[in-house]
Amino acid sequence: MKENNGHKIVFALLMGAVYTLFGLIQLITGFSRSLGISAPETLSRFIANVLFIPPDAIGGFVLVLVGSVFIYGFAELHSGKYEGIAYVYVGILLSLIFAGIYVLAAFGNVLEVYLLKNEAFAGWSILDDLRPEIYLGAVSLVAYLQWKDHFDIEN
Amino acid sequence: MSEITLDTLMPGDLARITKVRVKGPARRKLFDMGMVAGSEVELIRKAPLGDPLEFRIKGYNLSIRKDEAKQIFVHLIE
Amino acid sequence: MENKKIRVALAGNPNVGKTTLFNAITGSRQHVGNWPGVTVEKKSGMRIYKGYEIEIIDLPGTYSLTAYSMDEIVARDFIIEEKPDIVIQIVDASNLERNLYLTTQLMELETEMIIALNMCDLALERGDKLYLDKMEEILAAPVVRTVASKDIGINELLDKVIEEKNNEQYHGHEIGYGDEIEAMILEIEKILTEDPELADRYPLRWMSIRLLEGDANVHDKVSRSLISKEIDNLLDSIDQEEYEADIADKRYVAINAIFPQLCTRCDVKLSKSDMIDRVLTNKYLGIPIFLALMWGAFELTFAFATPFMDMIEMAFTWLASNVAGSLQPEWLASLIGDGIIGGVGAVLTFVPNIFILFFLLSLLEGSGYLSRAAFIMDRLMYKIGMHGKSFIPMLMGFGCNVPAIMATRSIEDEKDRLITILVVPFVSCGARLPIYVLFAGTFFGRQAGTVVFMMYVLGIAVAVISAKFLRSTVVRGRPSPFIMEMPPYRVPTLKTSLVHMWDNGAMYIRKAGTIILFGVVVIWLLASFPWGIEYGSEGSYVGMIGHFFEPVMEPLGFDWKVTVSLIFGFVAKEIVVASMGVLYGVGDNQEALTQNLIADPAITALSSLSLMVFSLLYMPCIATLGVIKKETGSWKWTLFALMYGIIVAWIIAFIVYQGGKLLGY
Repeated sequence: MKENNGHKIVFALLMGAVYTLFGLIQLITGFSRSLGISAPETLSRFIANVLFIPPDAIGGFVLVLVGSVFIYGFAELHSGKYEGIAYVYVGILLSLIFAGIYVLAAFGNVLEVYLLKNEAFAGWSILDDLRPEIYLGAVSLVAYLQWKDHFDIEN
Repeated sequence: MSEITLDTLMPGDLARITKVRVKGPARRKLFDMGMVAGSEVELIRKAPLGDPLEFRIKGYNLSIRKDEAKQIFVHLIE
Repeated sequence: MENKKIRVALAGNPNVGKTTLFNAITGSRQHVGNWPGVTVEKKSGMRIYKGYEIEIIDLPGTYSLTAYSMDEIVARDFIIEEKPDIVIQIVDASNLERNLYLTTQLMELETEMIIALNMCDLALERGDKLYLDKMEEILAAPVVRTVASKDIGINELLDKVIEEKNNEQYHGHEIGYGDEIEAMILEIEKILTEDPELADRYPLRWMSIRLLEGDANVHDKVSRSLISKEIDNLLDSIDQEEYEADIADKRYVAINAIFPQLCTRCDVKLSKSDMIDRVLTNKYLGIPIFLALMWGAFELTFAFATPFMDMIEMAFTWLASNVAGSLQPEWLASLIGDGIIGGVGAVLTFVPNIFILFFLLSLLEGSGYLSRAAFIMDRLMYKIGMHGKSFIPMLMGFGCNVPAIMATRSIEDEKDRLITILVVPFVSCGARLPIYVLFAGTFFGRQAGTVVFMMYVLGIAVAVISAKFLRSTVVRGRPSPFIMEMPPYRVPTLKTSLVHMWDNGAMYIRKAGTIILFGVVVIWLLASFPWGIEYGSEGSYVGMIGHFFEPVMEPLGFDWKVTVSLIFGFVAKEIVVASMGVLYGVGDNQEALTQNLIADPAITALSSLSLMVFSLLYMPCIATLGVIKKETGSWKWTLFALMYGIIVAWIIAFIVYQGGKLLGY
């Protein structure tokens, strides 16, 4: 039980950092887009086409939030409080929930394109809908499947 | 053993109810939910904004506002 | 001849899986209605089993049978007045101690009882040890193990029902209340027997205990009898508050004595549920997580429903042009095409949205999260004169007012519910957005987004201020006490959530559908006559009505065209934009409409601002009014909602327009 926690602590730290970082990127790009400011060309393209982070202020907030949950958990576990594991568990659940939401939204788009042949979606490809909420959520899914029965809180 | 009111508990405190001085319809509802003299209560947490309070009583979790907790007298167990 | 009909009532605490069990027994043979004279939902169903016709009535979930709320009175009255053959109490096996409180009260009603010990799987998982034999012995009632969510134990339960019906033996465990109280009980019983009609109708001991507790409802039943004076004299001689406390006390003493014999190792301290709660009600993370989840629910509803909504819209457009186009005479084509298909289409387009929203809401409720939502938001809500439970309906108002008002059913206190219902329509629903988009986009350019955001904020502000205002005038009093169980988190049952979704969605279609259909036909009539006039033009009745009200609307900056569109908006707020299109003769063409609006000297940026404000606040759409009538059960309050909205809208739009003119815009 204690050995498992070692893995979880590292997981919490990494996920926390990545979620928060990507979340801030998404938040800032989303926010500045609504203000009319845009980042230098190469940076924008890198963010959009390599990291697949669409500008979205609220989506960014959600990512930062999930990241905070993980980091909170890491902080508690690191300082010896075993209850911190709860944050890792809930962090994983939240990332799965939001991943699910965006996957279903993408599915809705798929229906629009292929079933309804909606011209508003001309040139849309499924990659347009890929975003950190989804691919980071996939990482969480792996973690969940591995660990789901190992979230012991009783010492 | 001094008597204090339920709202002064800290998370984790365990107490036993001595008297319920709540008046009005809330009184009966509290009785129905197990807040009677003699019951053991434990404060689990306060809500993010400070109110209401969540207690463990009779094997389940019950939350009430400070307004009501102020009128329930207890003495600490541990 | 043996009677093959059995009448069964289902009782139990909230959150014990009663609905799930009800669904498991009755399947799809259900009927939802109202208990007569009150706005409490009544569910009944039928099941044919081994040749018996079993009628099941789902009583409201209650923690006890005191007269604290309408739910309890309804449940109690059904048992003593209608006298069902059997009462099944559904008990949460993982929460036995508190559930027994209701058991003691049910037993005092002297009715045939069966205990359904539900959620046995959870108790087992926790490692609880339950002693069913002891339970049957002490409670003197049969106990059946069930796991309603997995359809386990249902047949055994029904078998027991048949067995008990044919047994016709009264069971029950009697609680002793101590010498002093028992002496009082005997005295009251003696007096009660002097009225044979009363004594025959209700269980004697139960009545006595209730009277000693100061139960207003039972006191009412007695006050009409000749012995009521005697009873009152006796009651005056005792301290009722003390007795009330003592009686509740003794019940728990009895339960404390029984409980350890029924269950060992039954209170687990830190469970998985507590673990999750640490995070979800965390001081800093709790509220952001709540907001994020709510936003997620809306996002999902919208994104996933859109393709289905588009499909329906396409279908109706096709239907309108093909069917209506080929119909003669022309007026019939117009009625069917513009009127009925158009109107019904407007309602049905929203159906995927509503269904998904209800489904998600049901999932959230089944998981137990909604009680945490109320817990988190209560302090804020209390400050504005509302209860924590009101937050979710208000939030839902951002999507659509109709399901939002239907969601107020979870608020027990009548006044709290009424205030919420009256205030929700001010929250800016999805239907108002096209209006903002059109006018803000046309007249405010780069600030359009901010203007729209301000509309949402204004809606919330008016809702909040209205709540305080109504609380100090028309619906006086403080919000009801917050005394709520926080049930353990559970994985919601898919089936139950789907059934809830269907029930509520079907109600929306019925309600909104019939009312909107009616409204659409009326408007169509007004827009098509006098005969020969162009649909919805200045010469039609609608146009005349617009001109008639113009003087009233002029101080707000509206001309007759705007007024007419607002009248159309009565049916559904989305229609405001569509009718402007018709009045300017550009139909669906948004760009042409924008051009026309800019060109029209009667419409300025300022007047469009006051128009947005007015359409935000003026009375709820007709579907919402329909649901308000259903949920309040009163024409008085429905009309109040209507008038209040119009008056508030007029005043604020007036301030905006005239104030703006004073400032030189």
